[in-house]
Amino acid sequence: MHAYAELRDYDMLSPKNLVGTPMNILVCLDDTDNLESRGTGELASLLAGALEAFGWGKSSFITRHQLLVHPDIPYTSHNSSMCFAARLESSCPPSRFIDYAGEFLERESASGSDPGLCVALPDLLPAPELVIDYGRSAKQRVLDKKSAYGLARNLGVHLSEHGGSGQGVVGALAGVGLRLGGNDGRLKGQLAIGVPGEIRSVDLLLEHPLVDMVRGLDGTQPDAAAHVELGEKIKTVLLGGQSVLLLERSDTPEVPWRTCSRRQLKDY
Amino acid sequence: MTGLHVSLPCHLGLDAWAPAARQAADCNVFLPDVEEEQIADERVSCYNCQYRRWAADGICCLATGD
Repeated sequence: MHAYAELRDYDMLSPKNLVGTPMNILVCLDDTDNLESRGTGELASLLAGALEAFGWGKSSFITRHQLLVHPDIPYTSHNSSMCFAARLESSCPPSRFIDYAGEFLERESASGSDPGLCVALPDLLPAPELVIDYGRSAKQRVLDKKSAYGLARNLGVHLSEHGGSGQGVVGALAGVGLRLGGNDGRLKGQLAIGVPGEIRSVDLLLEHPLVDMVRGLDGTQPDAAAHVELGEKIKTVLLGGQSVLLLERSDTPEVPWRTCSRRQLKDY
Repeated sequence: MTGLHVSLPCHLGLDAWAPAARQAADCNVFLPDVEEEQIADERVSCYNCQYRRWAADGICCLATGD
């Protein structure tokens, strides 16, 4: 018997519970592409943009979450899911967004894909640690649709499939769990900060709207006035629930830090 | 593509950065993957190619079957 069995039939998405209430949501997509198509990240960007264009709310950054690669798991080429957070206005109940997102996936996903959609309301989740655990598990072992649907149903999380085998529901739920856990994934896109070789101070880097924190790879906290050499591709990772710009130490006393390369961030 | 259950032998391990760059430079089907899936610092690298497929111990090429 699972620890969450007693939570069965909890329905946080019931419209009667949500009328007139602004809501934070987490949205995750998985398995929407094929070898030649747009990536799932682009669909997540389009969906987040549509949410704002319709005046339904405000979206935040998109994170990429790496899941297990294993011969028993069907995936295109890397088995990652893409997640974003948003705050829905009180005029847009989650069910309206969910309906749109499902139709969007059916319309926009690539031929032969197995799209899955997960939408959770983190402020109302009765046992968020169970979703977080599920996300961690999906990085370590093979999970099936049954386990995903069972957990989602018990916690009142929306989970739906929109084509093919629907296998993407596993990664979609896992992605929500990993985003909720706050310590997994890289942010989609690169930060537009200066040019490679340019020197910036830590406090200037912190002025970028997508940088919540600047930290050394070794966990140290650089001084606000410390100088940082910018690299070619500047990207943040999700740590402690924040968008963190990681730095590595350099050998130059005047410029003791530099931004990390893509290779250094590959395991996030 | 999605739904693949393939277990091709990996032609490159997890940290073969220089060979991956050399092979991609000589490859006539290299196509850069989307930004969020690129991990090599070299722009042209098998690790950044849309046709590579990750496995636990490295990558295989879906274009050439290597």
